[in-house]
Amino acid sequence: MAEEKYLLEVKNLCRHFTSGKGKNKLTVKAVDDVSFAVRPAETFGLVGESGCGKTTTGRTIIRLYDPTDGKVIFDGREISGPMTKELRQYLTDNIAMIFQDPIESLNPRMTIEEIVGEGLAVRGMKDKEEIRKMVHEMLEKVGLTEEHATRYPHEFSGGQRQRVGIARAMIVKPRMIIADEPVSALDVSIQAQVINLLNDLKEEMGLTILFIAHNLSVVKYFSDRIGVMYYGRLVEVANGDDLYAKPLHPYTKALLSAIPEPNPITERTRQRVDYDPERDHDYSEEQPTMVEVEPDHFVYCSPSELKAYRKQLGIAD
Amino acid sequence: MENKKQETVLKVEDLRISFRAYGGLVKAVRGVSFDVKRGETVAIVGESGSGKSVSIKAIMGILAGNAIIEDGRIEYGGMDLTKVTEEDFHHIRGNRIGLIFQDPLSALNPIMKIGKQITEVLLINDKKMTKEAAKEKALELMRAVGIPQPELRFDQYPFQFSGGMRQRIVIAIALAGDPEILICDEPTTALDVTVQAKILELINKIKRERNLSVIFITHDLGVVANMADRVNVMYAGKIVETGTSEEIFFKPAHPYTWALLSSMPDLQTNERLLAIPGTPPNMIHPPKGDAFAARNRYALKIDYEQEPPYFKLSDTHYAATWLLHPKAPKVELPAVLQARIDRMRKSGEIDG
Repeated sequence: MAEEKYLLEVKNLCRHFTSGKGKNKLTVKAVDDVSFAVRPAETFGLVGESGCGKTTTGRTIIRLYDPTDGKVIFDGREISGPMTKELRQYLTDNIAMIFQDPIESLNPRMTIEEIVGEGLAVRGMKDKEEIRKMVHEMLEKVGLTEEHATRYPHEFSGGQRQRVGIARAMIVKPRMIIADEPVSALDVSIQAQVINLLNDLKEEMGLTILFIAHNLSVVKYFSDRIGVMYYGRLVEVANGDDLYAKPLHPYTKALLSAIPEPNPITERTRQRVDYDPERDHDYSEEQPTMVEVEPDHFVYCSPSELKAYRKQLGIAD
Repeated sequence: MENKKQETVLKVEDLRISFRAYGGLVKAVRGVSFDVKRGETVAIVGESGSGKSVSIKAIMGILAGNAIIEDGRIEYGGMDLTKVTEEDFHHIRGNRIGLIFQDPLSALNPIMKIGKQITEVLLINDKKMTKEAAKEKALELMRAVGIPQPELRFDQYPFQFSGGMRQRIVIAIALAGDPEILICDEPTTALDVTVQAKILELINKIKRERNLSVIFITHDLGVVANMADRVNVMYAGKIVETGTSEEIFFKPAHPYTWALLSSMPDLQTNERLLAIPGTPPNMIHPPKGDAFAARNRYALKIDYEQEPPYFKLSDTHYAATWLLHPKAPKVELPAVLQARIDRMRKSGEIDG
């Protein structure tokens, strides 16, 4: 395992937010001891409910937040250390982000050409004609046309704006994209367009993607491996099919059983499972850790739970 | 579903609503007809801008000031709701038709205690009710919607509640008037999946206990499958297909319904999604003919010229598409969708 080449390694990452002073001091462990690794050209999905820390994880990796503890390693280089001009440059050259809200994330006073080309200009490209050419090419790639370049964000529909957001992220040719809920603000018929576009770009450019979303069907469809988060912790990591076919952690089971499927027959008989950490775990004697239950299937569990999970999968200890 | 001769409680007929806007009249609803029977759930599915929310706002009498009801009737309890005065609407709204909004936080008053927000409805609806009796009734409602420790929660403010609990309060307020129709406008869109599942279960439970009629607005087909007895699919201000849940999910006939069903991945999907190209039309100048034609890969020439009428597929199943005309070329369901329907039927057989 250790020999395997990862593009992004997240090791024991913590991001705590504090508020108040003295005895009113409150610490929120938004991300607490999260570790995972992403292989080159792989799509890693992070799912969980709102407030579970999935967005904070993404933002801490790209250093919109500073990590409280832990390490992030990108292509062998640590990117979680003190911020320098050089590190900022390295980060923005290699990792780009696509945001959830295509309205808020585009400057209403800039034209599409300025928005998409800004990344190139910041990188010291001075030739305006060259930038324009690249912007046009990029727009074409995301399904827009040259004519769109001179328009402003308000002239576009939600789906088109998200395409602009994707073009802006892709134009600097990053090696990795962090996509934070890229389709959840869009209409159903538009979501499929954007998912297909991301899929095409992924294949064409060999992109590595960290895909953050709460819609499990979309994450399953889009990702190779999936990490499930609950209250700041990663509770289960497995490849998509395994996670859905044989979920081990009780929270994963609860989450899966809550997805409504567009099938009236199964929906009427669906049994939902509840998750209650107090009831489902007994951690009074043993401490849980992240363990590899079977190859490439990690669960956060205590030794006795591990035994039960292994038995369930029919693996000898 | 068992009893075919249920009483119709609400009937919308050929409703047409426009909005005055800078560019001209936005034709938001263009001839919508549907009915709701006692004790059944009718879902209205569509994208934003399809006119689903506008239709139910007309039923509640809470259309924006620039809206014009151009034509149509909303029959309820012997009245036409499009002609009822605001004064009379006070006795219908909340009292006989309840509404649950999408965002539970903005539906509640942030500086009023939860208990007061529920008793307020009770006291206004029944002038003779005492405050003590109202509190008793409110606590009972809070228990009915599954709020733990109602006595404690009674004196708390909305910010002290989680999203799911807030939505339960909104449901309790909607139930306080003891309505016979409950309209749910995307009640779970703002909630997490696990919370969503609990709220949907709650709505179903209340519906059974009180024999409510529910109108359920959503864009999530999974939720529709869970809730609805009958489904109306809306596009560009019109209902393009209507049928029972089984008919819509297993025998869809309108290309827009096909597109909706095959554009979202389910847990088994591996193949490429069938995205709907383009965007919905501008409703200031609705296209001539079938509004979906420009995005429809099966569009015929006549689709651009003449609006399709409703073609009958069964007593409950109608669709507005020229593809069902006897002279139209035979079109097969998209392979992806057919495969998914087969898979769904199979999984149903195994589970059921």
